[in-house]
Amino acid sequence: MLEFLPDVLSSLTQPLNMLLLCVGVLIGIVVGALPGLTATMALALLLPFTFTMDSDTSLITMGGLYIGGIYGGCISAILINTPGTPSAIATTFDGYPMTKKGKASQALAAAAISSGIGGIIGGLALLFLTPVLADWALNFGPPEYFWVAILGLTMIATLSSGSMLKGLIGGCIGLLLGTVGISPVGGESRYTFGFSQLQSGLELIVILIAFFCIPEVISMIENNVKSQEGVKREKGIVKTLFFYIIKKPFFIIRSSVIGIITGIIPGAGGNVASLLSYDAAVRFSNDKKSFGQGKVDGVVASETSNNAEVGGSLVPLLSLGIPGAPPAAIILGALMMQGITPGPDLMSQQPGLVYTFLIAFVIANVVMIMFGLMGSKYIGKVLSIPVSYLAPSIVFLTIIGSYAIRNNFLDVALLIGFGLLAYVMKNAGFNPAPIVLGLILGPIAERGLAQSMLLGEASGNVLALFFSRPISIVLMLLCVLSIFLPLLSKLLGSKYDDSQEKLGA
Amino acid sequence: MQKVNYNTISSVILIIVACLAIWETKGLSEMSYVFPRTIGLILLILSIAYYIKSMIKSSSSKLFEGINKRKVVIMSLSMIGYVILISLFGFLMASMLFIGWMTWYLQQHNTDKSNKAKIVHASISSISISIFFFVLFRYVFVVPLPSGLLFG
Amino acid sequence: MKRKFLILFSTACVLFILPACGANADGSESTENYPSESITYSIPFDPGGQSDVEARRQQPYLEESLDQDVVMQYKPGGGGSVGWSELINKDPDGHFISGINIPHIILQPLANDDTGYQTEDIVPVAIFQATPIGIAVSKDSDIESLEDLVKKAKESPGSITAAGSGTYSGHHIALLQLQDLAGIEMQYVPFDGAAPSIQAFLGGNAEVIFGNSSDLIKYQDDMKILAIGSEETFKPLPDVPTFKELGYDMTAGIDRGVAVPPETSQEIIETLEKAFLDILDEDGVEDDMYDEGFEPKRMGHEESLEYIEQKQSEYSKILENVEEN
Repeated sequence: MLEFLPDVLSSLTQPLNMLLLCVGVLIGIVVGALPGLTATMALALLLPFTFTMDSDTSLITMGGLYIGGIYGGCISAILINTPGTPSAIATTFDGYPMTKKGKASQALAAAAISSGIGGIIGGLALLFLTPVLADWALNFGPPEYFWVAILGLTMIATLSSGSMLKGLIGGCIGLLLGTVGISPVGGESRYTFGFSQLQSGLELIVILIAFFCIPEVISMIENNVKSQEGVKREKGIVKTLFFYIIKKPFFIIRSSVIGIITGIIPGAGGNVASLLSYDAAVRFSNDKKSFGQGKVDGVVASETSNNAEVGGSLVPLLSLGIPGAPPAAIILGALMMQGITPGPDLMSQQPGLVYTFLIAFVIANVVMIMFGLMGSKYIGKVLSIPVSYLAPSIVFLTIIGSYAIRNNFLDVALLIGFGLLAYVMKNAGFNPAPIVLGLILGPIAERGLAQSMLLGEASGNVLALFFSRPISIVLMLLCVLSIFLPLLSKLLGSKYDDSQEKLGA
Repeated sequence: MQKVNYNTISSVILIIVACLAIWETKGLSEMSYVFPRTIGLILLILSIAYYIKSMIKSSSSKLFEGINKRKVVIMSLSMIGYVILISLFGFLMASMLFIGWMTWYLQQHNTDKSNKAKIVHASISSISISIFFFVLFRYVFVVPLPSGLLFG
Repeated sequence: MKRKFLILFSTACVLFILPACGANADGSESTENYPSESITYSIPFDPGGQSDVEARRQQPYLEESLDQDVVMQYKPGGGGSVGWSELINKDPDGHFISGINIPHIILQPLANDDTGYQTEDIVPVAIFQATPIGIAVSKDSDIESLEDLVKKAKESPGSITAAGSGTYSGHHIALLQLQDLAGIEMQYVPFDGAAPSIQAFLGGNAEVIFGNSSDLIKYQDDMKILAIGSEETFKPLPDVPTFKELGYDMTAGIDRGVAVPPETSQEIIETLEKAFLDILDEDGVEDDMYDEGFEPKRMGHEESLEYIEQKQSEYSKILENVEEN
């Protein structure tokens, strides 16, 4: 790697490259913060501008955008309970309650710091472990996908505040919503009720906004709440938070590892990473009850892992030419436009370019922390806007977002329809989180199940397929543990929890 | 007569949804129905459990307690109206109407402002917000925005 | 107070309607000065995909020859069906064109009733590029040739797994055609796109893979390519035999072209046809295509229509056979 250092340095010391890196991060943050406009869209929108650039400049800009976009999603998640990108979904669980308590700037600062740390860890994994990790990613076949999805679904237990039964019902509804459209393996359309636009399924972003944002906007006006008293700033908060986070190395590493692994697996993105990491944070904590009430750990867990996922999703891209997540697919497109075909040979053919990109990637994360911390001072001011102006504007922005995602008017109608339904369901005690969880994981589970069945039919034994694969067995055990451990710990009393805490966190 | 509580009503709705979901999978091939049908069945079982639970343990709390229902209904209807307006007049016009109307309506109980001031503020904010974001998305980000049937 | 509002809005409405009507009158004037405004080029897939790569290559040439801006629009969803449903409902004034893929536009309406368009609704302007579909096995496999594969499949029907992208897709139909011609049966496992199917194949989850030429070239060190679906020997893979050379009378590939909404006038179609086909004569365009694993094609409007019709009857026969079994 050292022999490429001159190349890397000469490229990175160019003022244009550094400027575009910062601009990329900044635009990414802005676009990511707008509900409905995801990191993927930020990349897609700006892709054409990179065509005329040199290949290193183009890659650096795209990397900055990707990192900024994923971070930006947390801003609207924290301020208005709306994940700006799906990756920020778990950030809403504790971020928004923090805002309600008037601690929005703390949440934003914590998100910036933990995103940056997660991103850097992800970037280092990308820099040093790419070849090892890429081979490992290939071991993920259909049965493993199925079990990852099931493992994710066991989180319903953590996420259904209040009634477990309602949480499970919500999960099933989400899973059913996820089956709308052309079936991934059978190829037939289901539950489209004659709307051809529904063949491609319900758009996750639209459902996310509908279930998280619309009910919140309605609650905003119904209670006649006075707008929050702005955001209180406490001096030295950044320093305090930084040391608070740093003092939990296991916690940070666990969240990052979850993010990196989820990133490497193609088909599971930042949303799954943030959810899994949040779930782990709750399970290993000895203060489970305070999660969901505005605990800073919840924000840290989610943000660390969704930014570590960025690095992870680029691992299979750089080593195998397979994008690990939708935004990585667009970076693949950017490379192809430059006449570079990422594949197994990329590292050996373009080592200078790859290393320049990787180091720029780490730098971009540092830039992102700086922007994030500077911004957290001012961004919170949004909340001091009176509700009579704020609420209609949020609805207006969500309409733009839901339409822009795939230029489909039906999505706008679905947004409002599902939004009103979500409001009623929320009042009837159905938490939106399990529903959205089902929608995210349903397609992964279904594809994994159906493909495993086909593979099993060919080998003559479906069960053997599930039980003969090491990763599959480990995942199955994790599922079983995840379901029964909480029950066991209840039976054995609180002793068990304490020992878990020492092991895990 | 004993009042039916909302849990019973929602459980019955859920049972109907589950049955519909299962019914809709008929005629599909195995690979297409295996997953939705299984989920439909689980939902059906859970909903029945929910129904039984709601009968045994009837909660006294009512849906939408302590909520200003009038405001919520008007807000909901306005949002539905907004969608219809977009399909007719296109995004920019509909947004001006919606933001203007909502801002004005939500200020109703504000006694510090005169009626005239409310209308002026509502109009200014609706026009400036709509145009700012319209220009930003349409021309800076080149994101297409919905156009209406009548004009766009 | 409310009246004031009404007056204000009705005035605003009138102000907006007037210019809109004017624009309409201009637009339907004639086709002589086509194109009179910027052209929207819709890609029914994600940005950065293979259709996009081609469209981006064409964009500057089109802007020059048509003397108008060409604006790209992405409308992914339903394997392209969402974008094509939009296409057929657009005004046939030539200012909205969309990339098309064959066999997608043929197979989707055949497979599902609610696809939102019929193959006949789509008016092709030109077909300019193709990605032949090839069949490959892992480099560690004991299978050395297509013959070996057919023999093995005959010995144990249904036990060979073949990965591909999507159901009722180009890969799926290629497999069905091969099964039909060779009298064999394999287990097709569809994945959610080309990249996941390659990942699954490299990970050893499937024995055989149906892949696009561009992907096969990228991973040729990790696999043995048994045959390719091009008409003649595929330049970038000179050593790989075609299906036809091996005695299976089939071609397999994804053809890319561009189409306009139904009832577009002949003059507009001709203008666009020339603009698109001329690009292939530009310096370096064909070479770039080969380098990226594509095969240049030159089919005009009439030829494309015939080609689509011929493929349609071919595919509907294959699908009927499948449904009977």
